[in-house]
Amino acid sequence: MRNPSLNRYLPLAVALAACADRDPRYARSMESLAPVAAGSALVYVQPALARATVVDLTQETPTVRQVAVGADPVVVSARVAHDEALVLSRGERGSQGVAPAPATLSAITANGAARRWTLGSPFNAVAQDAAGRYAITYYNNSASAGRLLFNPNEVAVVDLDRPSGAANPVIRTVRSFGGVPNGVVFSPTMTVAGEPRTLAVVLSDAYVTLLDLNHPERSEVTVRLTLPEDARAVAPAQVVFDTDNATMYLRADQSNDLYVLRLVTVTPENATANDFRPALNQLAAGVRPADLALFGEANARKLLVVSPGSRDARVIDTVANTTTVVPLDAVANRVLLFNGPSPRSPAPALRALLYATAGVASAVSFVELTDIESRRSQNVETLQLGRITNQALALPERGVVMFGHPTSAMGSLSLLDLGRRTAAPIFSEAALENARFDDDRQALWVAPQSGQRLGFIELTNFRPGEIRLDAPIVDVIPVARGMARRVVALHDAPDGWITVVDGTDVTRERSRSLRGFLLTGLLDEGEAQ
Amino acid sequence: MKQYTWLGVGLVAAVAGTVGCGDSSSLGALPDGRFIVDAGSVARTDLGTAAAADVGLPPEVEEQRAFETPQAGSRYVYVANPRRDTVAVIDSRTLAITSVEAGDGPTYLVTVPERDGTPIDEALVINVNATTATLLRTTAAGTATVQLPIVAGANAVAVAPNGHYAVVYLDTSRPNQGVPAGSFQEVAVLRLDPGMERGLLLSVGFRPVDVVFSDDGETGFVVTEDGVSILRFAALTGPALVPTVSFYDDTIVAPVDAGVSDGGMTLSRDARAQDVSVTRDGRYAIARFAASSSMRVVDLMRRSVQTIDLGTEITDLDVSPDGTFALAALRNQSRVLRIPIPAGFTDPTQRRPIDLPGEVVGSVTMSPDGARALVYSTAAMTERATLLDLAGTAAPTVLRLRKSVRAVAFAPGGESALIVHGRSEGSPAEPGIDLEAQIDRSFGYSLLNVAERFTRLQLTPAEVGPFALVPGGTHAFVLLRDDARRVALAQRITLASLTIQDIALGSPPASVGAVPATQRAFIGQDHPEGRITFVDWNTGSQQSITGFELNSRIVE
Repeated sequence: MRNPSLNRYLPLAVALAACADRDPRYARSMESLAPVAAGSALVYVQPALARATVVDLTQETPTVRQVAVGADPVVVSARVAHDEALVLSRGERGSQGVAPAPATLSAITANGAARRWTLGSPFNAVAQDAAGRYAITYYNNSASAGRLLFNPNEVAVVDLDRPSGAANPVIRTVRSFGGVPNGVVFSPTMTVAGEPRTLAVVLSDAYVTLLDLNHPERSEVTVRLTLPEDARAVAPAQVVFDTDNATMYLRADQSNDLYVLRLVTVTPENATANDFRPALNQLAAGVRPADLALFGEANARKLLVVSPGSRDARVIDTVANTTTVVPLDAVANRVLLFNGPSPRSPAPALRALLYATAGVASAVSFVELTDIESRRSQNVETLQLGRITNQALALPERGVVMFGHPTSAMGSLSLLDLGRRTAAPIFSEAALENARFDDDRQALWVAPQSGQRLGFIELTNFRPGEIRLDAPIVDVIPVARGMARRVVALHDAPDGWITVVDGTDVTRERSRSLRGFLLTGLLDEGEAQ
Repeated sequence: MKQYTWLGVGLVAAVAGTVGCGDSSSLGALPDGRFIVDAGSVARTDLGTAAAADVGLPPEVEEQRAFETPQAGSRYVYVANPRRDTVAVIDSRTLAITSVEAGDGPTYLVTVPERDGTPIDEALVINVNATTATLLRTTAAGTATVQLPIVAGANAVAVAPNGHYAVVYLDTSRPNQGVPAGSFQEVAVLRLDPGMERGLLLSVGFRPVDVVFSDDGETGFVVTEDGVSILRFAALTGPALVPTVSFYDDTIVAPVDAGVSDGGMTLSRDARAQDVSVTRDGRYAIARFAASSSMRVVDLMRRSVQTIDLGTEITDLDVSPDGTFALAALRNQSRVLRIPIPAGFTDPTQRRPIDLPGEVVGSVTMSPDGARALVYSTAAMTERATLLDLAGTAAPTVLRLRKSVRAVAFAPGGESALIVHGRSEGSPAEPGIDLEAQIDRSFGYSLLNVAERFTRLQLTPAEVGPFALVPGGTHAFVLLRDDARRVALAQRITLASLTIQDIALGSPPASVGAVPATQRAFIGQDHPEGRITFVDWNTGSQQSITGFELNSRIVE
């Protein structure tokens, strides 16, 4: 394995850091945030240095570039559906000799180009819509924002396709009933009041707030989930959108009802009023509903809900709001819809797999969705896996689900064939939560914590393999998009250490190790001072 | 007798213009022929299936309807929310919900189903924490409100059939917010016409218990303990003394130890007029008295009173829908007496007895067209009823019901009826009891096809609760609720075939009614955030909405 290391910088930095009366910048932490992929590049952010290091893996020899980001970066995430990384920086509060700087959001490409939006307030969380067009920055339940005063219900809506300007981002304070945002989810593009648009749903304890991202000037709509005298801590946990019917279904912890928000067209009263209004409905969904999925034609949409508290599944006709209870032999807290055959019927049809990830069941349930309301339990087949399931990775496009089990002589993984309804054990030293798919889901990569071996399973034929690297692996990041499949194994080193593995030819010979790239430019910076 | 006071009556009364708050005296045929309901009490004495004379049977017991239940207009359903001072207006077509601010503590709500024959969406709600009522008028553009003054402590509303007027009063026999200081002799007459809304407070007889109207809706009759107070609305332009015609002829009253002697008959000092009916033309009011063989006829035009002794205790008294005759049930004689109006008041030979030997004839329910009547007893656990042909010459038909009768409701056309049964003590699931005992101990009702004299017994998992028959009489809805056993069910009955569809509900049902414009029944349910299920009465398809309390709190 070749090692075109950049380690030559490290001794210099160490030597400089050892000098007396050194510049305080040399005492700054080299720690970085967990890196993310931006297309064919890997982006590291070092908060103390307020800079991002972009390792471009497009070429055989990686290119390393440094990009300045706003002060005090706290979040780096891949921009959805784009080859960019987003860096949220809280800015500089200001101190003696240090000028204050506003919070910013930066978008960084693989070639090191950067765009920046000024946010104003020191948010600490960012959420994106499914198209990667909009980002909302907010305070995520922060006990302290590190400021004398801060408004936890302030959010900034950033249109990532438009440059920074007076109207971008839009700074808003969402209405509060005593809570603060716990999260933000975005709708897919859906037609509301005759116009395609994207909504942001800000989730707070006992209420949600709807923001029309296509019309950020319009007021937000706040929907309470409990009455004032209701002391339950109803926390929104899941939102499913029915884009055909301009409706969203919301599941909340501490509520046995699902909340239905149907967006009804109304005539706006003024320029800042919305042209829709949510009509709220509640659907009884058993005890502690844990997951839901929509199925059926647009004019006959149905919900499949699993409720482990009542050990059943429920089919809810969203038009009639009638509920069919389907008792289950095995507790389930997850729903997977898949289109495929069954042992009795080779014809593909929409079916469901109900399973548990909480270590409470050793069996799964297959549900035939056709005529489920009339046939109920007749449409359920229970399959014993023989071991408790505590993790699952679904690959419905390949007709399998990989389950993780507590380690045993039967192996810690099993591969469930959705069509044949058989489960085959796979031995693994790694837990599924550390597994990563390729971008094109051709392979699944796993690495045991602190182990040196990188394992993989070819998802086309479920053939496993592994490669030993030169250092313990802390994480795996597949990178792809317009280039050969590559997987980057991250090693624990403050100066930056990665091994790039060729995903199509997993050998030590085809792998490249790169170290010390986080030191790039440090000397230049020092000399420039 | 009094009409049965379940929500089933709500629909009847809504049409008759006496919706909502309490009993509504029989006023003969309803304008569009909708159903009439009569009921008595749960029987306390088991006399077997072929009881004869009934000496010692208990009197009938009235049942009270609940308040704060949804009421339907032509298209919209209204739900008062006294905790938030709002009324939720639910579009039965789109299920859109809007919250409209009312007054302080909107509680007792009725709808105004039509005005001059045109279906409308208006509701009148009494704000119990303020001496006001709020009139809500809903159109496609929204709901407008008007505040009107009413009497303190009011808990009852009667709306005139033409939709122009309403009378608001305190009925002390119904649930109320506590009797206020002041008089029990005041009512508010509300003019409801758009642009002309106003309220006028008037003094009437002591303790109003009911308000009925003439067929044209231009005259209201307030039934009080003293007599009948007559409200001629067109003449009520300002404060005025309302003429009251007493049930008692004061000129001949003489105190005696046992009570008062009136017209030669002795009445208890506490005698109260019962089953007060007013003929459609507003000419006569008739009433009976508990445990008395006397009935009173009040000529409301001449303001005169006449006592008629029928020789034995009158256990029920109803006026036919067209006001041409009355039926008196003479339980001790197993006889129903048909009394032509007015000829039968003065000429005993005009009265036609219908003898039903061997039957317990305690109550009478007439069909809305007055062509038929069911005769039965709610005081005896007889498992029979007798169908009378009042329009033709067919002989009475005795119907074997297999369970005792608690209430009877005719469909609008009189072609079918719903008979609610009583039950005997004990669990129907007790081991070792025979089928007959299981049936007797079960809740249930029977459906009657009048033409075929066919009855279908339906046992139910819970007590038969509120029910409604839809306009046109094609379907009926029955609510079944047992919170302890988690029974929350509605049954949709197709009356042409007497078939029944169970509709499982997500929460306990509390009220039922019909929305004519969308041909849907609504079933209000007890749910912290409010829940209503709409059922297409033709197809049985359902839609539920929950959280209209929360809907009212969506803010923009």
